[in-house]
Amino acid sequence: MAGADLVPLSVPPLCGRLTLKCFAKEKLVKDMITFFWGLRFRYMDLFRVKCVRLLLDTCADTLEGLRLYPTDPYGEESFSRGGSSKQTQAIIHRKPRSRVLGS
Amino acid sequence: MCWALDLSRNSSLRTLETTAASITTAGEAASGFLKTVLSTVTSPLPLELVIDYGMSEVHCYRASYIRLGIVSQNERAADALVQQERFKAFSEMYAVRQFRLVLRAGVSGRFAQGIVWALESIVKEARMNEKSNYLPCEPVIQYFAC
Repeated sequence: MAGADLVPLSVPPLCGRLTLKCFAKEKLVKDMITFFWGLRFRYMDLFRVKCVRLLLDTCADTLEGLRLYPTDPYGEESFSRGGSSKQTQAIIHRKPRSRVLGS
Repeated sequence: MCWALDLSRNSSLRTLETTAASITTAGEAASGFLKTVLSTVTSPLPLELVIDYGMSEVHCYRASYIRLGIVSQNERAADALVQQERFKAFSEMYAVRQFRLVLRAGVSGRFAQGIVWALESIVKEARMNEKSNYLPCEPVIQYFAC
């Protein structure tokens, strides 16, 4: 394979455990979803994570354990800030594409 | 406004974890927060609610502290009330969504025995308050080495 046929370094979606504290980089999560063809975390520990809804929806079929905190200010947020369900679905179901690293 | 921690789509969910410290910090809001989260759970699997206890949440129950007078009777009584309120909140949460209550603590070295004894004392007291329906289900105590 060469050029545009190169596949990402990690073909299976990211899985396992995810811990995020005071995390507001929603774009990074979206890029991870695109780059790794989705996320399949089984356990998440989230505190003050702005894109909590995106993460929960992306791992809807795989999440078995969730650690949360009643002191988390991001427990409640508006759809406009957290992203609508339609937007989330659009990201999750985006078709994977090959990338050329370092280009 | 919507609830960001909406777990209605998480069909494989079987464990919710939080810390006794964060429940204490959030105060009365903690019960409402956790009840709202629990009300969104639609997973058909049996649910475990795991409460992690740290040293600060059990120090009033440590036998050595009581024996040495590090914890006064007033402190002990005040903490007993906190524990009672906590179990009352568990009971209210259980009414929203049934779960298996797991009280968990990390134990290490010479503190291990004290924490084990303290957690067992907390459950024992909660069991004594059973007539007040404060014990939603028989709690399970878990330890892990840390």
